[in-house]
Amino acid sequence: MTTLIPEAELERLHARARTILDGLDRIVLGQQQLNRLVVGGMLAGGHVLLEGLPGLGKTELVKGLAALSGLDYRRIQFTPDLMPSDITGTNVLHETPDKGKHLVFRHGPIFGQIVLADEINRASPKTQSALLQAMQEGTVTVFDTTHRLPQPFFVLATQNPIELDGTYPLPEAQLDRFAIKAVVTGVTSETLCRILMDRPDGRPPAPAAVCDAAQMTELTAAVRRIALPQAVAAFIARLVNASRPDHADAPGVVRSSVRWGASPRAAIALAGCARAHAFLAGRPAVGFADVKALATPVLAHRLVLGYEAGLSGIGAPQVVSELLAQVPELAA
Amino acid sequence: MPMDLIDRRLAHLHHRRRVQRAFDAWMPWAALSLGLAAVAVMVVRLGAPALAWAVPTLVAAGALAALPMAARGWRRRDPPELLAGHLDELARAQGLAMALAADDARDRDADWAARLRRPLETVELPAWRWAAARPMLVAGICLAVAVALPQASPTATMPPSVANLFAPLAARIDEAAAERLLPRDDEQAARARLEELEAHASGSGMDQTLWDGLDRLDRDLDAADDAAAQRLAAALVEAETQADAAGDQAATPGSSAQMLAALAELAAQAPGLVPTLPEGADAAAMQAALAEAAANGLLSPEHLQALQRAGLRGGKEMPGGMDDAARRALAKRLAEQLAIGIGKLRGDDGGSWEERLERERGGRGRGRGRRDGEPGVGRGPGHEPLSFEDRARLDGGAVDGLPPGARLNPDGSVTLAEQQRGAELDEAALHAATRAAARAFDPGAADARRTRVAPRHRATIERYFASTPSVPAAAAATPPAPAVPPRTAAPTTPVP
Repeated sequence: MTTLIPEAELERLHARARTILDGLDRIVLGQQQLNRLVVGGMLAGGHVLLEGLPGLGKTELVKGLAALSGLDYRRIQFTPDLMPSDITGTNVLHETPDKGKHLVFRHGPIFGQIVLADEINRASPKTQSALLQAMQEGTVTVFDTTHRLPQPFFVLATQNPIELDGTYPLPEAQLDRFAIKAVVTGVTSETLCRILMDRPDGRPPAPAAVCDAAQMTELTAAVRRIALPQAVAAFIARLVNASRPDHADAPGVVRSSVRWGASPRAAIALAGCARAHAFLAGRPAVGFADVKALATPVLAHRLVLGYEAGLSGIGAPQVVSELLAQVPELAA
Repeated sequence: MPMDLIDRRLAHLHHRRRVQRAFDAWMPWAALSLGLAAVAVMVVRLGAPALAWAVPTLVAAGALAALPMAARGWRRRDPPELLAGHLDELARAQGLAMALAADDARDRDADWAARLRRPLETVELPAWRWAAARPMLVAGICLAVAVALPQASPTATMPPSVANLFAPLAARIDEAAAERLLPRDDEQAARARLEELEAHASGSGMDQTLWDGLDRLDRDLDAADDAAAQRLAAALVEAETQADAAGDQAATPGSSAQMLAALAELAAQAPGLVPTLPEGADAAAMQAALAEAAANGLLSPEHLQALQRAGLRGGKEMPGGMDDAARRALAKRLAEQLAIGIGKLRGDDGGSWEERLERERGGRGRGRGRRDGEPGVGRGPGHEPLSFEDRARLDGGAVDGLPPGARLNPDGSVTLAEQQRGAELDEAALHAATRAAARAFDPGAADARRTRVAPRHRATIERYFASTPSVPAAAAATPPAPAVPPRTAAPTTPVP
């Protein structure tokens, strides 16, 4: 039995989400689609990887979202010499007033509610891996102690697709932790002109918080109450399975170009993001269109392509597009 | 369980998809089965006439063979979530219809259901897909064409020697039908018999049954020829008799009706003999005779039709009744027509018709004129005797005793012995005469008849009646008609 979220409640929560979105649109001009992706990923309880050239407003987007949502914002600038303990925190020797000494855990910057991992690919894989447990389980284990991260907890990472010298591409396991990888593109001339006219110092207006952590939690809980019909769930399952080259329903382009397909975690992320997409549209149930709209941002970065794809000039987004074209929404 | 709009739409969609699935499953197989049936029927039609009985079975099999596939398609049911997905797509509900359909009707959120009401009310079920019907239609048309093909005749498979036996018989039936020697029913029966024999010959070849059947059919046609000739002869003699009676002063007034009845019979048996009856001075007499004959019930529908073809219709009585002069005029006209007909028969068929007519005359025992075997001198059959003897005196008296095996006939003759033997007739000549006579009486061949027959008879009649002293006034006033002897001669008997 499917219990739909009541219409009035959905309208109230949707209005709140709309407030966040509208505020974000005022901060990051001309990136409405990107803003919805990021907010959707966050409401789905996932983490978002932003990839784009420098100066496109990735950091400003995360900072603005943190300010609007009223969550505890932390920023970690990833550098090659960044150590895991710089992220998670570590035990330090603490001297008590009575001259006693004992180790106490000093929280790292990961202990925030919105964590900006800026230029995440500049840190070593060892340091990048410090995020794995936090992103998946919401906990951090230092020595023998597991520390729970504050909720809600979102990681918004950025990376630069150029200047790859001295960078460390994210391993597949790390990539799989991100629910959405959003590619940040440039803005139109009109938008750029508006930025020049309205922002003499180049900085966006400082937004006021429109909600708090509890309200954000309520929003994420509401997204989980968005109904996922069985047919849509079946479509997601078939879509994800078809991305695996060893699956019987895999289309030809997957068999020829993909080495490793999407994981069940990808299916869960796709369902969650589709729920958020429907929620942001004010609908109580997920439709096939929601899945299609989120398929590329959710699945593309999880596909491990073979050299055949490079020879053919096929990228992961093309593979996902082919998947959407080949896999029917409703099984015959 | 209460049903709301979603359930009703789901039910409609379910039914539509099942029917479509049944069609989808049925049509390709139906195309295949109909195509195979078409090929099979075509083979039967063109090359296997012995299997013609199987054509209806093949057609039925072609039409019905694919039905189990339709049932198979019909039995398949869509899972509820799939149906809901299709309905959601049709209503553009973006998942709402699917989510609502997952619940029972009473558990559905009324507010969300209300939002979906309008899209569901205007939703259009998927259009029928008929692409797969084209091959089926083509196959069906091929089957119809194959069925409509004429069935190859079994004679096509017969050896020429056997097939050649049927062609003359068919031609003979056609000829008899064209010449009206055969009644309609007899003609159809003869054709049906011939077809049966052909079918038998194609299946069994030449055997005793086929020989017997062909022989029987041949004899039936001979009999039909003979009967036609007999009917014509009877009509001629009857007309001759009536003409003789009308020429007699002692003829009764009712004899005009008998005369016309004889004329009608003659017209029915030989339509070309009486081409334009109402013309001439005796037209009124003919009309009166027609009225009288019709009143006395002497004319059958066939007689009336024959007279109508000859131009005589709508009989009306003469004022004051038909007098002797009118009756004689009518008799003269009848005699003229008779002379033409008999003359033509003689011209076409030599003496065989004369024998037949003589037999007919003898069989009727005409009271007027000389009978064969009677005493006296005559000028020919049907003429008044030139010498007269008392018949009572010439009867020969009574028979006192008869030898064993003999019997006394009602006419006073004695039959001493009887022997059955086949008639010694020249059948070929008789058939030729019959066909020639029928052809001669065909109204469509009037021109040929006129040029072929009339001059010879005109000269003969002129020679014969050159010394006839009396010429009836009505005959003299009548203008000569084509193919009719000169009016100056009024023969009441066939020209010898």
